[in-house]
Formats: sequence, structure tokens, C-alpha cells
Amino acid sequence: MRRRGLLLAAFALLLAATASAQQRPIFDVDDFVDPRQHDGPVFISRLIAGVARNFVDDYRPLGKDAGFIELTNSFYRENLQFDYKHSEVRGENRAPDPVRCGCNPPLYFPTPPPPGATPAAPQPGSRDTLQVGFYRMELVGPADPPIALRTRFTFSRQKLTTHIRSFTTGELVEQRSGHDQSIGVDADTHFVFRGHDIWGSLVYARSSTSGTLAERRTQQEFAYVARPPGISLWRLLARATLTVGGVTNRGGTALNIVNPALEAFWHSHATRANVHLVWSPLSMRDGEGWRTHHQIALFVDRALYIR
Amino acid sequence: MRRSRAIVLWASLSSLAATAFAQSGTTTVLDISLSPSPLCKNVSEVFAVMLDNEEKTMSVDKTDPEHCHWTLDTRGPRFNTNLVHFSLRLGRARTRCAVPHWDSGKARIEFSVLGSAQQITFTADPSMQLRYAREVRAEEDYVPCTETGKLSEPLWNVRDVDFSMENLRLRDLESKKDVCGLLVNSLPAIEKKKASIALDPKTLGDALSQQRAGKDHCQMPNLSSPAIDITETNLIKRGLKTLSVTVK
Repeated sequence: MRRRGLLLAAFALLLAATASAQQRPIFDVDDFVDPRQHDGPVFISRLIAGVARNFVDDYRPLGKDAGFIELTNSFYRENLQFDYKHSEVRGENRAPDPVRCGCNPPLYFPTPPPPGATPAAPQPGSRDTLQVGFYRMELVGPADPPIALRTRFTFSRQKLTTHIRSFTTGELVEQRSGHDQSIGVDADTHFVFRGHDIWGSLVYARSSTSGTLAERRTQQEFAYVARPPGISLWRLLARATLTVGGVTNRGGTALNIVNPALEAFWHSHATRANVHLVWSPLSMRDGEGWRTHHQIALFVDRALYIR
Repeated sequence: MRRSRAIVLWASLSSLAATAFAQSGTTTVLDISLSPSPLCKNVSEVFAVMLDNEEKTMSVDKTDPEHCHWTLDTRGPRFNTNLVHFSLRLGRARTRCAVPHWDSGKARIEFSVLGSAQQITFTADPSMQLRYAREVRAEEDYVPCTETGKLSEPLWNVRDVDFSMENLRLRDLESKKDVCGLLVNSLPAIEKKKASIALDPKTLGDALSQQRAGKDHCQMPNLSSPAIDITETNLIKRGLKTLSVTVK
């Protein structure tokens, strides 16, 4: 068991060191449900709303604060989970449309970040996400009940349209349409090291963006998210996670993401709403070195319908 | 050369198999030795649990209390020493689970009397059957076991619980396959060794959320909003108004 644990740890570190995570949006609430908790199928519709400071979209800093709202529809049946999520994110101020000079070849302002630099986040907007997850039971010991772990596939897509105006007249001279889309998988892992449970997830995602000023750009993300057990302080639950990994096309292939996060969670019995406060200092490295973005989010979620 | 090696191997395996079979026996009587010596003399009442079945604990007779020897007669069911395991309830202590051995035509088993146990009483309002499991891990010569039982009128007591060596769970609390249930060890009242606690659906829901956040290792630690909603729905559906837990 211990040897297996060590092998898994080494594997996870190796993956993290060589590659890179489809980062869940900071407001995407934890929706893990052990299949042993329900006898029949369960459908839950949920509304999430809140604000984030220094919003980061999939390891791409937006550079400003944002407000968001998300509607999630989750269906749990036996060992399977299906989700459809629709989110709307709005930046604090809408950035002006980019401009193009009348010169030849044309020049665009603001200039998109060069390849190898951290790309700018796409304009915040509407995003649709589909997820399919399945839960597996892992035996841990003859006297212990099996533990439930989830593997989940995610596909998300946001339509992008960039309006380019004339530098001199301000007229619309060009329009580019495309998508920011991501496909990924995350698998929960568990092993025992020196008698301690080590919980985590391995995450892989491939994202591509088109329809912006920059050339069509892709990034692959591979990360390990350590999820140590949380703690409770009276009725407040808190937990910390640590994500380490790499994102490609950032001017190197080594580990370039370190993202600890701290989440405080409070459930109100009276309103059946959950309040979340998340602090997520994200350190990323590109051709210009390491930079840290302190992302803080405060949001509320509540089930609208449960059956 | 190869043939003679095969013969030697076959002979060794046969001898091992013969020894193994020779060491087992089928009987209804189990000779029990308790240790360490001065402590085991204080034991005045012993109940045995065979094959994890807490619903049918069996009374054990004193044979030679001065030398800490007791005898269990199942008075019916015969058991093979290689296929069963036992644990004991000793009043203010319990033992881990052990497999008996066959020695001089008798089934024998040894236990050490260590630790202290508590009597846990559950009272559900409205009265309803509760299922529980006691998970005891392996240690040295002892084997792992998950002993199960149910609580219903008139017995609501789980006897001789030693939280230092076992996990006590109320199973099937949320669904028919809820093996994780409520981990009684992690209840704040148990951790603080308080005498009694009354859990209504809200506090029960909080306890289950804390358990899922990391106090239990039955599932990935999580702060799941849907899990809380499902718990609240399940508890309302079950109609449980209060669950009182008393520790003595």
C-alpha cells in the first residue's frame, strides 16, 4: 500500500513538473456527491452570484474585478453525474474596442501579448459548460468502508466577438468571431503516506482561443491539486488547496503554476444558502518571470430546485 | 534433478497443507484466556461477538477467573477455527478481533484487556430502527473487523465502545447504501467527552458536513453545496426530529 502510495506521489509530481489545470472558475462550487448518499436519481438546479477581485480566467488574468452569476443544473444517478452550467461574467468596466491604424501592414492597439507571454483573458461574457463525471469506489482497508472518488470530463465554450475600430474615425472596420473553449478531465486521487491520507486531483485540459486580436492560441494545462482535509470552526468550514502544475506556451515547459487557495464556507439553515469566501493567490511564470495575482471572491449559492 | 526437486516441492506443500488442516477444528466451545494478569482478574462479565454479528452477542462462562480463563459455549452453532473471528465485551473495556487456533483438540483464543470503553445510548425521536457498524483495525495478532448491529426497541445501547481503537458509525442514515453514515467518533460531544448531546436535523446536517469536509476518510474531503441539500432533503424525508447520543 505504501509503495503504491509512493509511486502515485512520484507520478503526480512528475506530471506536475513536466506539464500543467483546467482551472475551475473561482465561483464554481464544489458539487461532489457521494453516490451512497442518495437512493434514487437527484436533480438540483442552483444559482450562484458574487464578485471577484482580480478575476483570473483559466490562468489568464483579466486585470480587473468582475461580477458573476451562474446557473448550474446537476443530475446525479447512481455513480454518474451530469452537469450543465451557464455563467455570465462582467468586468468592472468594459474595455474599449481595439483600434487599427490605416497603415500597411495594419497595426492593432492594444498590442496582443507575444507568444510565450501570459495571454490576456478573453472579454468576460457568457460561457456554457457540460460535464460528465463518474464515481468509483476504492478499497482502503478491510475494516474501512470504500472511499468515493470522482473522475470528470468537462467541455466549456464561450463565444467571442471582437470589434475593431478605425484609429482615426472610430468606425467599425473589422469584426472577428471565434470561441474560447476548453476540454479537460480531472480525476480524484487518494493514497496513504506514513499512515496519512493524501487526497488530490490530477487535472488536464486543453484550451484554445480564436476570434481575438492575437493569433489562434492554445494552451495545455496539467496540474496536481492537493486537497487536505478541511477544518471546522463552530459552523464555519474551511479548507486549503494547493495546485502545482504547468501551462504550455508560456515561454517554458517546467512547472509554472503555484496556486494555494483558502476557502471559508458557511451554510445558513434559515435561507438554505451557502456563503463562500475564497482567497486564491496565483503565482505564474512566463518569459518575464514569476508574478502573483491575488484573486479574492465572495459569493453565495442556493439550490433553486431539488428533486 | 528437476524431477527430484518437483517431488521435494510437492512433499513440502503437502506437509504444509496437512499442518494447516491439522491446526483447524470444528466445535461449539471456545477456551478464552485474558491477559495481562492482575488486570484480567477484575473482569466480572464477558460477552462474545462471533463473525461481526453484534445482534447476537453470547454470554461467556467463568471457568477459572483467578487465572483469567473463560469458556464460550455457542450452544448450537458450530464454528471452524480457521473461518471465524471473535471479539469480547468486558464491561468497561472491549477487545480487538482475533482468530482462534486449534490446540490439543480445543479451540483456544487469547485477548489482552487494555483501554477503557464507554456505553453509548442512542435515542431517536420518533422511534426508529438504527443500524450501526464498529470498524476495528488490525494490530499485531489481531485481525480487522467491521461488526454490525441494529438498535431498536427496547435496546438502544452500543456496548463497550472504545473510541481509541474503533470507529462507530450510524449507517443507512441518508440512504439504504449509506455505509459512511454518521461517524459518531467525530461528534464534538464525543471528542469533548460530554455526557449527552441532542442532534436535530440542523445539527445532524452540520455534523455530516463537517464529516465530509475532512473528519472522515470515506470520501474526498469536500465543501459540497449539493451534498448539504441532499442531506437536508433526506433527513426531512426520514422524519427524524432528534437523535440523542448519551455517553456513559
